[in-house]
This record gives sequence, structure tokens and C-alpha cells, in this order.
Amino acid sequence: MTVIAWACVGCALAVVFVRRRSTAIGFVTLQSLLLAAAAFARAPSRSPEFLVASGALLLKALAVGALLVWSVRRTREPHPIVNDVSPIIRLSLALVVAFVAAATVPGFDSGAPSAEHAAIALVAIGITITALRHATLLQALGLLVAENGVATIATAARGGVPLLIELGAVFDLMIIVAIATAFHSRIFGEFGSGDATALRGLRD
Amino acid sequence: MRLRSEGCAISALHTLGLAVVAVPVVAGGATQLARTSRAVDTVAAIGALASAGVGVALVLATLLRLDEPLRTGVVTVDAASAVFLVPIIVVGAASALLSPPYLNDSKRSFFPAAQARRLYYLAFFWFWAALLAVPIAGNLGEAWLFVEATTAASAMLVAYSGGRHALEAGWKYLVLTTAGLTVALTGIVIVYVAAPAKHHNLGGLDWTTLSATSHDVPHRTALAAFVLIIVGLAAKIGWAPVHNWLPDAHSEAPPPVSALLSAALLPAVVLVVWRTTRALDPAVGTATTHHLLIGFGLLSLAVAVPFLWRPLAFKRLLAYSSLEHMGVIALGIGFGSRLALAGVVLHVVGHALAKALGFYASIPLLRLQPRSISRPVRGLARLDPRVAAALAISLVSLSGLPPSPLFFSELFVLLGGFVSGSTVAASLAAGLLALGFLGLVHALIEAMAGRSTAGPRVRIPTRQIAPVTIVFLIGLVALAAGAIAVPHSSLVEALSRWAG
Repeated sequence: MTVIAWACVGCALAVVFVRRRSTAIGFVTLQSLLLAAAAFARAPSRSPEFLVASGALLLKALAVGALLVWSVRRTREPHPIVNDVSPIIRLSLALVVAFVAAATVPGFDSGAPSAEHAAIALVAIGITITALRHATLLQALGLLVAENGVATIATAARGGVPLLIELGAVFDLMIIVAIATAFHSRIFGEFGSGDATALRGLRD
Repeated sequence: MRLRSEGCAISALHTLGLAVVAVPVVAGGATQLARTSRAVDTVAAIGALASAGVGVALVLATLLRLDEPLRTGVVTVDAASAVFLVPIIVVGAASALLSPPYLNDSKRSFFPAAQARRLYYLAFFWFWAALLAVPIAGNLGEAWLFVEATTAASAMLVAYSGGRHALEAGWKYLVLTTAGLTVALTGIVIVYVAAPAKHHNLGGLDWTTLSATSHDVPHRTALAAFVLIIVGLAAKIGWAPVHNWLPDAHSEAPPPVSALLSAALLPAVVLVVWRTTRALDPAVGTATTHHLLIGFGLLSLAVAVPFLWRPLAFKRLLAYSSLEHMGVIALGIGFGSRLALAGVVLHVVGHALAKALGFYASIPLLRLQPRSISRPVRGLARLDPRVAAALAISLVSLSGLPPSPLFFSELFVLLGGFVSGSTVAASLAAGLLALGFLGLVHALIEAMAGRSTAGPRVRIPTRQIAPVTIVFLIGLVALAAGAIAVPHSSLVEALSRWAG
């Protein structure tokens, strides 16, 4: 689990760095698939409920990935979305935030201390992606990365997390991503680009 | 015999708790079957009245059993549920009934034109259902799911008009609140995982179980989880400094939705914070939890007050006033004395009535002064006395001018702060509230008597706002008249017992 958790952190850092939206979607889908695979690998020693939750994680990985790819194909950017923060600085910031978060939150006795740190780092990197990336779809990917951090804790913990919470969170996330892609399409239609820097008209 | 009737009462309360969520869900579905705009409005009105009826029955049943609250793992129906359900029921029903005038005027929509009205009601009723579920959620995980569901249901409502600013507001609302709720979920999962293994099932997150077992969670872990949960939920409440979405969403959403966001959503999530605070008190320490709430309260007041002094568009002014009032509620819960809790009860209901009336007044206001969408209101008294009266009653109440119920509630919260020994925080809050009061009174005078920039007077029917104003005024007067009795009521007694 520890190796997979840190591989997920690697995927998240790649999302901070890469320019193309489709590449970033690929990394997040890979991250979600890795988590689903880790959950399936642990399922034989867990309750039947955990197997259902693993299935939900796999469904989420595939459905959300497909939805995002479909959204990218429908909204081809006329010009690359320029980010005023360079990839190296973004990566450095994400690393600092992840390190501080993982060091600040104490261990919580899940049975996999290293995976705990990776999970907290994932949540922190996810929020950083949402804050630093300008493309609306990449901001939505940040939310997915953060949610995968929570899923990492749920998968790594000895007793798992109640099925209702696991399924509810996955279902809610899928709806939120579907709504985010609907927003992305409307923003693209209205502004001619999915660049969130255009969304700065409301100020006091 | 007594046991049997007790069992029936519990079963009835449980059924009412489930029905209060199911009825609006069904009503939202039913609106999809209607063919014409008029039929959709009629189905929505019937659904709203039915939902409100079940809600009122649940509140009355709860008030009759204040000494024996229902706390199962799925449903919690107690004094706090009753208090926080009232604004959700009243404002939800009023918003549904007042949606047709807004929808008749709206020219474009986020949704495809042919289905815009039906999809508006579908999202509206499901948003309302999720809101009604929050105060009666039996455990922390369930409460989180319902709060997340409110985001899913309401984001497209915020962007309903489909304009650039509405899209911006809706996107910010979706992204910032989802990010906050993910942080909160991280805290919830940490608490769950760190709890003793025998509680590793959904029951481990029951409010009662959590309260009884949280002392087994190591202090540092519990503190980290608590901070993650509260900061995450604060982003949904709009407490400063994580309030960025609030002014935009409140000002760009359709007025009936703005009313529901401000008067119902924000307090409902505050209740989740309150229940979490109660549940994790044994592990984190009462002083820490209360100081965090007082901190959020003071910061929210300090951030809101300067904006109440600025010449803002009316709905934006109301949005910053929401920030201020959520700060007052945070202070009341943080102070924790009986008097402060009485203030919280009055404030939750009084703020809901006053704020909702303000947003409803903005439906005809935007037709009278279309520029008021982005500019301050001026000279309304000369332009239309009916709309002016609604707006004035709302602003007078929100400012806390006596005899507004918010005058009493703020007084109770502040006195409660002094009683509980939080002299510095209560003094700071008193100063900030006085400044906020002056800002709102200034806005009121300008709105009524200032020089109008609306251009030539246009004749627009505004009769519909008059009965709404009268109903909400009666509610506000009744609340003010009964305010003195609130601290000694059995409701506040039950609430203080629960809040420890």
C-alpha cells in the first residue's frame, strides 16, 4: 500500500507540472486506478463491504476519466492556457505545502504510517493544484486528487471506512465532477476558453 | 401501555424525519412531469406546501418531546434540530412560492431553454431536501454527505442566469466549497480511523457514540482532525477568512435561491460544526473548541464590517451582512452560556426572516432599478413604496435596530459572552456590531432617500411583495415580542442541557 500511496503522490505532482489537460487527466486516472487496484488487492482479507467499495473506486476511476476526456475533446483550446507561475515554482510550492501538511498532521494509527503521510500530502497537493492551475478542468482535477488522498486513508486503514460513507463520497464526487464539466462547457462557450483567469469580474 | 405509546411516538418521529427529506425529493421529480410553465409552478407550489407541512409537523413533534430527543444512528431529532429546521422550512417554502415571478422575468439560463423551468425546480427541491436532512442527520459522516449534496444541487442554481458573472460565482462556489468539504472529510476519516477498533462501523460516527468515545483518540490527532473538519466546514459556511465564494454566490444567484443559501444553508452547516464541537469536546478540550469558534466569529465580523460601510449593490450588501450574522452565531455557540444560546436561537430564526425578505424584495427591485444588480440602491421610497417598505424592514431588522429581534439576539449573545467570562471577545464583538449597525443604517438611508439614478420612472406591478412583507413582518414582530421569554424557555433549557 505504501508504494502505491507514494506512486499516487508522484502522479499528483505530475498534474502540478504538466501543461496539457489530457496528460493531467491521464495521471489522475492512473492514480485512481492504482488506488482501486490496491483496494482490490486488500479485499480478500477484508469484509464483503470493502469489496463493494473497491468496485466503486474502480467505477469512479473509469467513469470520471471518460467524462473528463470527453469534455476535453468537446472544448479544444484555441491557444494554450498560459500560467503566470512557472511549472518549477508550482512544483516547488506543491512540495513545500505537501511536506508541511504531512509533517503537521500527527499519525492516526491506521496501520500504515507512511501511507498516512502520503494521503495527507495528496490532499494538500490537490488543494494546491486547484489554487495554482488556471484551466478550469485542471482545477477540477485538483479536487479529484484531494479526494484520492481521502480514499488512500480509507484503503490503507485496517478497518476501512463505512461503506455508506465510501459509496456516498464516490457518488457525490462523480456528480460534482459531472457538474464541473457542465460548468467548464458553459464557461468555454461564454468566454471562448476554459481559462479561470477570465473569471475575475466580481470584485468589491 | 406507556412503553407501547412511547414506541409509537419514537416510530412516528423517525418516520417524520425520513418523510421531511422524501417529500421534497418527490416534489422535485413531480415537477418534471408537468408540461406547461403554469403547471410546473402549480406542482411546485403544491410540493412546497406539502414539504413545509411535513416539516412543521416534525418541528412540533420535536418541541413536544424536548426532554426525550430521538437519537438513532440515522436520525437525530432534538432541540437543536427544531431550531435549525425552522428557517429551512419557512424560507424553502417561501422561496418555492416566490420563484415564478423571478422565472417569468429571466431571459436566459444555464439550462437549455425548453427545460429551464423544470430543471430549476428539480435542483431547487433537491437542494431543499438535502438542507432539511442536515439538521436531522444522525451521524457526522451522514451530515457530511448531505452538506456535499447541497453543493451538488445548488451550484447550477447559483449560475442559473447563465451570464458571465453568474458562471464565475457558480464556479467559485462549486470549487471552493468542494475543496473545503474534502478537507473536512479528511478530518472525519482521521477521527474514525483513530477511534478504538470496536467502533469501526458507521455507528462509530454517531453523534452520541463519538461524544462517548472521542476521549480515546490521542489529543494531537483529535485536535488535527477537529481543525480540519471545522476549517473545511467554515469554507461552506462562509466564515472569514474562507468566505470568498459567499458575496459572489449570494449576489449572482436568483433571489429565491440567495434567500435559501443565506437563511438556511449557512446556519444548517453551522449546526454540523456545533454538533462536531460537542462530539469532539472530550478529546480536544472545551476551551480549544470554543476559542476556535470565537476566533471565526470575531474574524467574520471584522471582515464584514468594512464592506457594510461601502456603497455596494443591494444583494452584495446582504451577502456581507450574512458574513456578519454567521459570525454572531459562531460567537454565541463559542460563548456557550445559556443567555448566549438563547441569542443563537433568536438569531438563527430572526436573521432568516429578515434576510429572506431582503432577497425577496430584490425580485421587484431588479425590475424597477435594473442597475441595482451592480450599483447601490438609491431613492427607492419615491420610486415604489411597497418595495421600499420590504427593503426597509429587512435592513432595519438586520442592522439590529430596536425592537428588531436581532437587537435582542445580539444583546443576548454579547451578555452571554460577558457571563461566560469572555469579556475581551464580547467587548470586541460589541464594537464591531456597533460599526456594522451604523453601516447598514447608512445604506438604508441612502436606499430610501438618496438621489435616484434609475432614470425615468417605470410602471411595474409590485403588488406581490406586499403580502410577503406583511407575513415576514408579523414573524419578526412576534419574535421580538417573545424575545424576553426565550432565555427561560424549555427549548433553550433543552439546548443548554445538550450543549453542556
